[in-house]
Amino acid sequence: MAKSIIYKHYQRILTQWPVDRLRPEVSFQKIIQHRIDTQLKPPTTPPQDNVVSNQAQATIPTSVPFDEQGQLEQVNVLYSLLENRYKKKYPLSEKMMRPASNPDYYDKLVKELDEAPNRSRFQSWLNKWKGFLRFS
Amino acid sequence: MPSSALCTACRQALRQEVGQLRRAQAPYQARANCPKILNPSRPYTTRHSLSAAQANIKQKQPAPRPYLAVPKTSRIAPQTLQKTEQSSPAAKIPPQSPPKGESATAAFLESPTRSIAKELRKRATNTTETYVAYGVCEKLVKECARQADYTIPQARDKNAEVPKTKDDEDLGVGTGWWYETLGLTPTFATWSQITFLHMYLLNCRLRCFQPAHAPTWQQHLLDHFFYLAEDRMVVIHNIEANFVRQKYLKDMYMQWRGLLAGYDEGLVNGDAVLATAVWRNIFKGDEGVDFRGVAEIVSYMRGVLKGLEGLSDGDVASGEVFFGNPGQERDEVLVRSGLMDAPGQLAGGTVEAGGRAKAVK
Repeated sequence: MAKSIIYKHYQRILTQWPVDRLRPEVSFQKIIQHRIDTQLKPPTTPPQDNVVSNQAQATIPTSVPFDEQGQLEQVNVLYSLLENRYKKKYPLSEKMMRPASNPDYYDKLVKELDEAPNRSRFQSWLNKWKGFLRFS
Repeated sequence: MPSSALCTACRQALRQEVGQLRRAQAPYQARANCPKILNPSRPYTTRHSLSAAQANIKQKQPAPRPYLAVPKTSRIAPQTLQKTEQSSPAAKIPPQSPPKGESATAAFLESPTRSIAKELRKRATNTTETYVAYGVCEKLVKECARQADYTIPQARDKNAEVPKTKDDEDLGVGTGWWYETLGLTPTFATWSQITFLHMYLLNCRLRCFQPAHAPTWQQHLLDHFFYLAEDRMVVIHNIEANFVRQKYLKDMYMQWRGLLAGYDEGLVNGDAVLATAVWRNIFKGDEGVDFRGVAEIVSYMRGVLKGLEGLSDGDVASGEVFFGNPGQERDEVLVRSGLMDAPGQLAGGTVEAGGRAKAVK
C-alpha cells in the first residue's frame, strides 16, 4: 500500500519536473522512471519462476527490504526542490542577477536557452561563425 | 671548555657589574664590588664568546617571529535567514592588518619594494590589475581545490599498484563531507567537478566586478585551475605523457563550459533545474542518487552565493574567502514540504492521511 503511494508521489513529481530540451540524451524523467519501476513496482513474475538451476545449485533472487521512511524523505526532498525552497531561502539581489560587468547576462542566457533547441543545424552553424570575428 | 669562554649568565652578571661600576661614586667601593673572576676591561675575543658590546647588539635584535596570518575575515557559509536582517556575520568583521613592527611580514610591508608596488597600484590600476588578479586567483583556486582533496598513497611507491574503480579510474583516499557523508568516490573526475562547483560560485561573484576587470579575473581563475589540474595529474596520478594530459585538460574545459551554462540556467530557472544540473555533473546522472545530498548541494550553492554577494569587491579581491560545510543544510532539507499533502491525482483521502502519519518528523 505504502509502495503505491510513494510510486504515485514520484509520478506526480516527474510530471511537474522541468523538461530539459537542451540535453535530450540525459533525461531526468526517464532515469527516475526506471528507478521507481525497478524499486517500487512489484515484480510481475513470482519469485519461484526466477530460480535458475544448474547441476551445482539453484539461485534465488533476494528482495531488497523496502525502506518507507527513506523513500518518503526522498519524495519530500524532490517536492522541496520543486517548490523552490532554497531559492526563497537565499534570494539573490540585483547585484548578483544583474552583474556590473554584464547586466544582461542572465536575460540573454535565458533567451538563448529558449531558442537553441528550435534552431536548425544550419542556423547553429551560422551563429558559430558569426561570433568568430569580433570588431569591438 | 676554554677558560676565557663565557656562559650567558656570566655575561649578564658582568654587564650588571660594569653598569654598577659606572654608577658608583667612590672608586674604592666600586673596585671592591667587582667580582674577582672577571675583568670587565678586557674584550673577549675567542670564537665561542662575544665581547660585551657585541652581546648587547645581539640582545637588541628581536627574534624572528613566525608569519602572522591575516585573520579569516570572509568565511563564506550558507547563512540562516534572520527575521530582521540578512547579513553574514563574517562580513561584519573589518579586515585587520598585522600589527606594525612585530614580524617579518610587517618588515616586508614597510619595505621600499612594497611602497613602490603600492604607488604603481594607485597610479596604474588598470595595468597592474592583471598581476594582482593572477596572484589572488591562485589562492582562490587553491581554496576551491581544497574542498574535495584526496591522496593516492600508492602513487609514490614504484612497486605498489594503484587501486582502480570499476571505470578504470585511479581511486584515492579522501576525507571531508563530500567523501564521507555524501559518499562520492575519491577520483580525479570527482575532484575536478567539486572544484568546478566552487569555482563557478566564485565566477558568479567575479562577474559582478567592473566591466574592465571581470574578464581578467575570470580568465586567471580558470588558468590557475588548469595549472593545478595538470600538476595533480603529474604528481598524484603519474601521467607522464603530455598528449594524454592535454586530452584530459581539453575534456575538462568542455565540462567547464557546459557546467557554466547548466548552473547559470539553474540559478535563473529555479531549484529543480539547478538540482538536475548538479545531478548530471557531480553525480554523473546516477540512477540510485540520494536526493537529500543533491538538495543540500543546491542549498549550499545558493547560500554561498548569498554570502559572496554580501562581500565587497575588495574583500573578494583580497583572496581571503573560505567555504563552509554543505552538511549544515541537512536540517532545512528534511523539513516537510507542503506539496506532499497537496490534493491531486493521488487516489482517495486515506492516501494523504497515511502519508502524513508516516512522514511526521
